Amino acid sequence: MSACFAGRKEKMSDFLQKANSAPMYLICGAVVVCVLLQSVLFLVRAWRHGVKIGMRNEQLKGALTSSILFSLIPSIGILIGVIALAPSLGIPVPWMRLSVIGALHYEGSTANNLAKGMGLGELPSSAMTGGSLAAIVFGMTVNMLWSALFILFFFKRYQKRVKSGASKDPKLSNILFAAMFTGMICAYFGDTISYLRTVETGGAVRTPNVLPLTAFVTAFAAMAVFQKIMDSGRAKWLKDYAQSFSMLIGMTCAVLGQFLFPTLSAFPE
Amino acid sequence: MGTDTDTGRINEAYQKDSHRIGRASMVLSGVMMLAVPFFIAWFYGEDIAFSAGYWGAFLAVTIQYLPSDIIEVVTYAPLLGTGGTYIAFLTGNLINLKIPCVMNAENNAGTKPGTVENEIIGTIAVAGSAITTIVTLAAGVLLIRPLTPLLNNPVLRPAFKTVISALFGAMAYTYFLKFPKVTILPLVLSILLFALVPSLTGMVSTMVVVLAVISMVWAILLYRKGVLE
Repeated sequence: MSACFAGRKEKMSDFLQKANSAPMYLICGAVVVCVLLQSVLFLVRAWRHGVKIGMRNEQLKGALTSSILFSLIPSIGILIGVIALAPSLGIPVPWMRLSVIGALHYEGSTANNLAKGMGLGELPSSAMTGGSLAAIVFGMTVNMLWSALFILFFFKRYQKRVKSGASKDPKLSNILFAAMFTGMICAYFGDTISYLRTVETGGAVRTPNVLPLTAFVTAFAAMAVFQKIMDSGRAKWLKDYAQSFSMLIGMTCAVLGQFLFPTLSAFPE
Repeated sequence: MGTDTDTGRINEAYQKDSHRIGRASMVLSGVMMLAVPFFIAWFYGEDIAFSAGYWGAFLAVTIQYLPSDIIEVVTYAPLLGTGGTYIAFLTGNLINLKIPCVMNAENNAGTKPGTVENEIIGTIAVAGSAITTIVTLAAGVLLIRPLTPLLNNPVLRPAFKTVISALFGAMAYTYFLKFPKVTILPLVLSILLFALVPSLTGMVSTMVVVLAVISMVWAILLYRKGVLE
């Protein structure tokens, strides 16, 4: 039994050694670079066009600065996803998947479902081979390309229809965009409420947890304070930073909250 | 008059090019992504493990994601604009990052939906966000050994588990107060739904679309009744 386990362990480490080797980094890195170049190209074009049509440099710089700051902390959260998937798939594949198209909740569950379908059981699996890794990556990729295909064939036409509808009543379209996003935020607020109850999710029991609600409410309150400061005419520079600072305050309060509510702060693995 | 026509023509050419570059980059990236599993199989010297069980699981994943992939485009593309859509659907993390990022940037810039200025700000915001994530992940992968114990520290765990809640909490202040009469219905509905059926937590991305649609229909009703200024 132990010999069999040792054999499996060796096989697993062989698999991971190859999954983490230089050629794997190279091929995954090539995809990441290709996507990075697309973003850079669009950024440069948009900036140049903005200047051409008379937009102020500060306005463009503000949009870039705020988006970088806004994305930094969530990106670290995504990095944790790479770390979480690394024991199952090696580092290069999750790195590529989460840099390109992917979202953590999708990547983890899809990889697991495909692995189970192949009879590998839960990931990380000691029965994992190069062929099964290839099949998992194929499944993850194809199932995230549907939206890209839809965009390729229908986006331009769909956009024309949306634009012509919006141009008929710009005031209503302005309200609708805000309403749509408000609905989305409400869904995430509702989710923090669901954390207050015991629920079975993903095969595990989640006990009541006040930290998501704490983070939401304190970030909301922090933004209210920052808005007051900005409205008073002081610290106008805050405009591009207020959202990120509020987010950080919310997350810090969640960290502190685990000490205040130790029995109401457990996240399932 | 002549200047307006010129600007219109320049903007139109810009949009046309955006679609052309967007499509070309999507095809190129898609082909490269699809080549990766074949490279992996070749590199390991094995066949891709396409078994009957695999295709069953593949079909189940497709049934789960195909409709939501298309609904995501229909829902989010108008918010992202042309350039933003091409970048966001290639780099992912839409609702948890790109959409809030665009809404924040456009709100700060004070641009109006449907204008070229809005398109420019949206594209810069999505591109900036995508580049930040790609660079952060690349740096993180390079430093993965020293970073792993820090990022897996149990004390910091609540911080990373609540990123999305904190992000939307900060955004909520701006958007809940924009049209409070619109906010009230989806907010109350959401609280009731998630409190009474907490298992909806496993379907948040679906609920996002459902509540967005309810919120829009409610906004149209209020607008038609002349309640919204």
